[in-house]
Amino acid sequence: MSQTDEIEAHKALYTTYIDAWNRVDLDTYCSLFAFPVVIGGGGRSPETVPDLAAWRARTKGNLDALAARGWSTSVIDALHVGLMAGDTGVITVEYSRQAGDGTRIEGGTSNYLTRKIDGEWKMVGMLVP
Amino acid sequence: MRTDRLFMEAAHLDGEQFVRRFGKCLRPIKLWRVEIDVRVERMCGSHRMNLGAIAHSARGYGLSGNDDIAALEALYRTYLEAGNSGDLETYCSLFAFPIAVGGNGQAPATVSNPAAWRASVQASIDDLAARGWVTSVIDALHVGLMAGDTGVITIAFSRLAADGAVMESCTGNYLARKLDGMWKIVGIIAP
Repeated sequence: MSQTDEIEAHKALYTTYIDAWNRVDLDTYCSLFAFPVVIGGGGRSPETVPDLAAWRARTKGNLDALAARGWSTSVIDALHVGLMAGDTGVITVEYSRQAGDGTRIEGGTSNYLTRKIDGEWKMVGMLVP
Repeated sequence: MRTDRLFMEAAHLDGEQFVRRFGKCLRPIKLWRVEIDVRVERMCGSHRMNLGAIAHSARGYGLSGNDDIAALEALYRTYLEAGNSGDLETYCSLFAFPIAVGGNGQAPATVSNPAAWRASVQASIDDLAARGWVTSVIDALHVGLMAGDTGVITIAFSRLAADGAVMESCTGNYLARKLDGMWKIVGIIAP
């Protein structure tokens, strides 16, 4: 694939990720990751999630907590992709979380680390400031 | 043997070459971390750069998950020491290109080759030196291992002036990829 194609594949990966998140489609959401996954950033010690079952439970907990705070959907404000050596990549996003009436609850930035495994890009880590 | 020569030699060996060169004094190799502590102290004094470089060179020799963590820690210590000493040849050898430098919501900048990276790093060092920086120290270092032979090194560090005063403290994340048995840095994401 060309560099342009790889960047487009990353954009599609993240779009699928956010759509699955918004639909609470945990099967699709979790299928976008390869394990172990690391969650880190901000100088904190990275936390390792060893497998799909643990990731699914964690994600469900996060979605339930967000819904309890009035969250309805997340939207992408900006999306950037960087390609690195050894079939690795990084997706940097700015996002907003919205309530059911479309008002903005909060927003932030995140970095998603990716790895091409068996010809398919998977997320392997998240770095949150 | 001069410490800088030993450092340069060890830093450029792969796992097999490392064992051939240092095997006699580092047996058994599976205890390399303890052995290196002992042997490098004996060979080089307590020069930490050598310890980091030699440990970094050992990383390709059938290391376990714990060894990968130790290798990534050693990779970062070598990185920091090379930056502190202005040894850009060693510094740039720790990366695989292209690399991405980003974070803070900004689009990652891609650096495609060692020459471009070397020029960028030299400019950063010159800028820091003009502001009074003389060395950086690690305040905390964490490692996470991910799927597909990838890893992340998360650090907190401080930049010090000549009198030891802290100029600034920062955090950063170094993305690493194991290629041909060797861990290399492929990205830097702040904070």
